[in-house]
Amino acid sequence: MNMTLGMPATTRVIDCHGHFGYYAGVKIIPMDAESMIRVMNKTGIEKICISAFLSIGPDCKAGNNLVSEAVKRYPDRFLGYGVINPNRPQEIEGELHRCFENLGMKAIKLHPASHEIPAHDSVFKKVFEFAASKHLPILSHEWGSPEFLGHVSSNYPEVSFIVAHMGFWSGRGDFAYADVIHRHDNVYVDLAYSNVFYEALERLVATVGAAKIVFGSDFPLHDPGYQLGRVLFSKLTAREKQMILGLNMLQILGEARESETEESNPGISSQPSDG
Amino acid sequence: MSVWAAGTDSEIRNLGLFDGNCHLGASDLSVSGAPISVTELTGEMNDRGIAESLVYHALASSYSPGFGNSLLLDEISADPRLHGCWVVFPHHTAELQPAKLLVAAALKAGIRAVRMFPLRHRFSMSDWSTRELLEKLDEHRIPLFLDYERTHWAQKVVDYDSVFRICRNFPGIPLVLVREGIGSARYLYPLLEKFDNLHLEISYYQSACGLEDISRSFGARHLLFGSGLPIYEAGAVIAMLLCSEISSGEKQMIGGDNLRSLLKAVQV
Repeated sequence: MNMTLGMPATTRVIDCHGHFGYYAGVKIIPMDAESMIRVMNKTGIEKICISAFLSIGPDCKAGNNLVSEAVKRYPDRFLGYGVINPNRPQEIEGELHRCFENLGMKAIKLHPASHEIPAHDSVFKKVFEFAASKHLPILSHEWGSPEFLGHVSSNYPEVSFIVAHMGFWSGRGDFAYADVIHRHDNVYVDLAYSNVFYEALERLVATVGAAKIVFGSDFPLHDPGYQLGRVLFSKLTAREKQMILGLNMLQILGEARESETEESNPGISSQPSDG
Repeated sequence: MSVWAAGTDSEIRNLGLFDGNCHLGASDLSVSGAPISVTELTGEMNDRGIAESLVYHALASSYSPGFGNSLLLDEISADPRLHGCWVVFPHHTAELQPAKLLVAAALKAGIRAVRMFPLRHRFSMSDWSTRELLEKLDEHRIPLFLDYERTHWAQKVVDYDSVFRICRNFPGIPLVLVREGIGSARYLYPLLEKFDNLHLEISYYQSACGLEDISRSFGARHLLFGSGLPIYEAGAVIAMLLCSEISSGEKQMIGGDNLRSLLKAVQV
């Protein structure tokens, strides 16, 4: 067998795309912080970045409170996304300040589909400006057109923009976001896509480079072991797997150890691999 | 913190993986390099630690069941680790033989499971359409893999009322739902509560702790390992099974023993 699973014991797994709480359309089993941590321990996930389903749904303030509580109890295991509701524009600035000045959030999550306001809507301008002022990453369920993402990532170079769910790319045909991810140092893509098509990850790496891909599972909506398996069983090199599983997100968050940074690891390349 | 160091390979071997969701041949979605021939597929099985596979032929689903089923027999004869699964639908249009003849031919050819694609092949699973065929499958206890070709967990593609009726009226048929997803639990749990003959193939059932929850509530006998090869990657579901908090015996049941038992129970 050629499992390519012999990852170094120092491999750090950081999940950039997690949630917390109930989800109306799906039975969620690991409901609380402790049961999530138990699953993270068995799968080897060091830290997960979470937004509350309540936040991306009906009540962002209550959801942000839930996330903040979990982060404060387990700061080494959870990192909080602050979420705003674009349908209530007058509340956005206040909630952003509350999230990052009182609740201990470290990044922003947008869900344009859930709130039915597209990412290019002017209401999000104040979110981008706030993120730029504090150098915050933004993960969005979707970004709309690649042209818009190119525009906004150029305008706010202080912000790391993460395209969620692999941009809903099947691995067949063109990856719509390939060019913008490749051209902009501050644009990344996460892997939290329920369909794990054959060698789609290898094609994604060949297209945008391992340095632009971050691990995400959508846990506890989805099983993190499932998404971890797509990386660990892939035909990528051990170094590419390490970058995707944790190092890239640690660098985005500014939490990489000196020994893990690109400067001290010439083996890390932001260029696409040959295969 | 990694739990994926040495020992994983032997853990996978111990699962005795028997893939219940796999096909040979090029399908509509096959990409370059995907393992579609016997040599390629068995090579992929070797790489992934899959001991055996129950395979249908892609041309039986996406071209013609009769043509693809015949091709399947030729191709799998080259490797004893591949077990054939015929694609079938009701006989009324005379494209396939009447149920009695079709099932007899399948058993004679060594086939021990069948698969149906109600949406792709555009037929009803209602009693007025499938009764004769289901009666023969029931008589011989032939597993039926029901494939609605789900491509996203939020899709409402499965006719659960028909699933209920088949499980109730044909208790001899092990009914296997293919590629159920995280949005299916509220449909599936009341069915699992009622029917021992309902099974789930888990290649897309990536509900966090879902394998544990179903094993605890209804028994691991309801779950069958499947990969979705060559359209999907096998590694994701293998990793999920490895990580699940169930006993090693339950993992072996899901990994392969459940499917082996179902195929062995077919009455020829």
